[in-house]
Amino acid sequence: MAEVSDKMSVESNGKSSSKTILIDPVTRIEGHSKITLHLDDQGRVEDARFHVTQFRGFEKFCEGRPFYEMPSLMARICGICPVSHLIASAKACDQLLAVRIPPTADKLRRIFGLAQVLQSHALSFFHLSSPDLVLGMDADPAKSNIFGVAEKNPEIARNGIRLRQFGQQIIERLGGKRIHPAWIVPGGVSEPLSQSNRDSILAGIPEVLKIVEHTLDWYKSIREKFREEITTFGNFPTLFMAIVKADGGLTFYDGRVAIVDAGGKVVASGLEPERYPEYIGEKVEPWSYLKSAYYKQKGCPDGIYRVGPLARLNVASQCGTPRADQELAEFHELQRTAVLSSFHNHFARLIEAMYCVERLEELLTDPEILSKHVRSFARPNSLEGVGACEAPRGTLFHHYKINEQGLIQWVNLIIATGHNNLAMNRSILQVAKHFVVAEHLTPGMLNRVEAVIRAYDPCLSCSTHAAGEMALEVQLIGPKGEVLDEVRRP
Amino acid sequence: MARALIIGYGNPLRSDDGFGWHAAQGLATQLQGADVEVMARHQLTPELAETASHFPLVIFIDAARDLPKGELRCAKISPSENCDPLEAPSFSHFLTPTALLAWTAELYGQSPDAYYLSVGGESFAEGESMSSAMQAAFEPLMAQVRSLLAGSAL
Repeated sequence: MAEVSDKMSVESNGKSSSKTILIDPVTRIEGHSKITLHLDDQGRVEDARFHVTQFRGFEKFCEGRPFYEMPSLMARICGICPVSHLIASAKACDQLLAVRIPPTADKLRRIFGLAQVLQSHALSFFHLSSPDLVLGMDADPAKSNIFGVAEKNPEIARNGIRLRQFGQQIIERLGGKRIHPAWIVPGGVSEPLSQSNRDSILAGIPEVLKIVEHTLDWYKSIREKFREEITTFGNFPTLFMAIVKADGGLTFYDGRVAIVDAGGKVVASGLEPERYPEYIGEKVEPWSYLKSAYYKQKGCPDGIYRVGPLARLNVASQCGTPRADQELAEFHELQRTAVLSSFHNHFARLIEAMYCVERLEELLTDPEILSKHVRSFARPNSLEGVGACEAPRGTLFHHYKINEQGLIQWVNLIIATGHNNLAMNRSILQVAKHFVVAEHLTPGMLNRVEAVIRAYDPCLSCSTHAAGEMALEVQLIGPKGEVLDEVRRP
Repeated sequence: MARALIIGYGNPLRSDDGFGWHAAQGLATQLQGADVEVMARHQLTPELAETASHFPLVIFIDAARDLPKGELRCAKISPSENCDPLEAPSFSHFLTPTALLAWTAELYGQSPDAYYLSVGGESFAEGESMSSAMQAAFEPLMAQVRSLLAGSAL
């Protein structure tokens, strides 16, 4: 066991000088995983793998259930982004019903989704990544948490809480509860928005707008301190994919899929989400429960692409709200091509938070938003449905097939973290090759390996209240497969 | 300002783990008013630190694995004083009561009196019903809550 941390270990099989570093568990992410860094005979990092060690099995155990249960079941995939699963699932069910939902239901679903993006981005930026940004990558691991942030910059900590609280309160006002609300249903939503709830949400907009503006200013003021990380955190050419509106603008709810290359050139646009199997391939690896996705037309691994905040802003032509568009213009000044470094996910996340607040205000002041007509009713009229949306972490697909009785026969889910799996693995390798020196491991080196994963904000699903589960581990592995070092957090 | 905040938390789909959540639902109908705010939550989340800062008394209700089934324990608690990885929110979206109180103290400068009421659970498996031992604990829990509220009269 190495001395640098209680969650890292190095092992050798004695037959070779090569080693493996294990970081286990990876901390400040959503879910359970570990990282292995494979060293060559000279002790240099040769390969890196991000292992998702939890297994959920939702695609299988939903078989046989009535289709109308799917939104509620699917929301249980995650305690952080249940709303995205609700939306994608309900949209798939809308297709099974073959109905067009009422315009107000469409807008209310959008509000719900924006509120969730806001609270999820707040969680990612303020609670998970701000210790790295406020305290630095080499900070004492014992202090590298929100308490450390509170000591050094309490305003950042309070703002993070308030922004997340605002998003959560919207979800609770509309859905009745903050986690796993069942308000979105096939055909629309179950209840209209009351005027008092609308007015209460609107009253909070000016405060959270200021918080986002302030945070953007602060982030831009400290960004240059991370020049080396920006250069090495997933800074390589890939494709970028997102759902965008018909005019190419940013959206989280509905649209067509577009893909741009590293040069910012459009590779594909107007792709129907329903036809995703034609352009998205999926593969599995024996060392992870997380599927990897790739752009079929380029094959694997050349078809590697990224989704999420960075990808959305690389793909979208505009945000469509004034303040967010100002920030988007600054975002594009970072790089003349597509913005490649995954470190810039942090900036993109804040820009999207700005968009969410502005768009929430637009939708909540829509004259139709208090309409009581919020649900369409029908029996199943189609045996297959696909629902897609932009979850906080990227594009989300739900695909269901039912029988004549409306019972689920087959399910396929492609979740943002799966889209990003190839890129996350490549990012870990890039960071490890640059920062990790096997003979002299430090917590700061390994924290950077974790931090690049945090930049993607992977959601590995963690919605239960079980106690004592590990969160993440990093492993160093030699060429013979022996574990040489590992970091493990209880 | 309300006099006390009661947070019952747990997963109602995990049998006895849902004790706190169910207890809050019941307490809400009996105690909710100008002096007491009752919240049912799946888990303790960071934003509750801000909410707790507005109350002089906070009572947490939870299920416990380390108590005999159905046994009620009442412990006065205070903010955690260090950043033990198990206490600090290094993971993400759930907090322990003492960590939440530490956030309240650190970020909002408030240290409410706080109690942690826990009841030993029997089963934490998937399921929406609680064991008979847990159900029998509701009455003594209610008495304990009333006692704390009475003792904390300001």
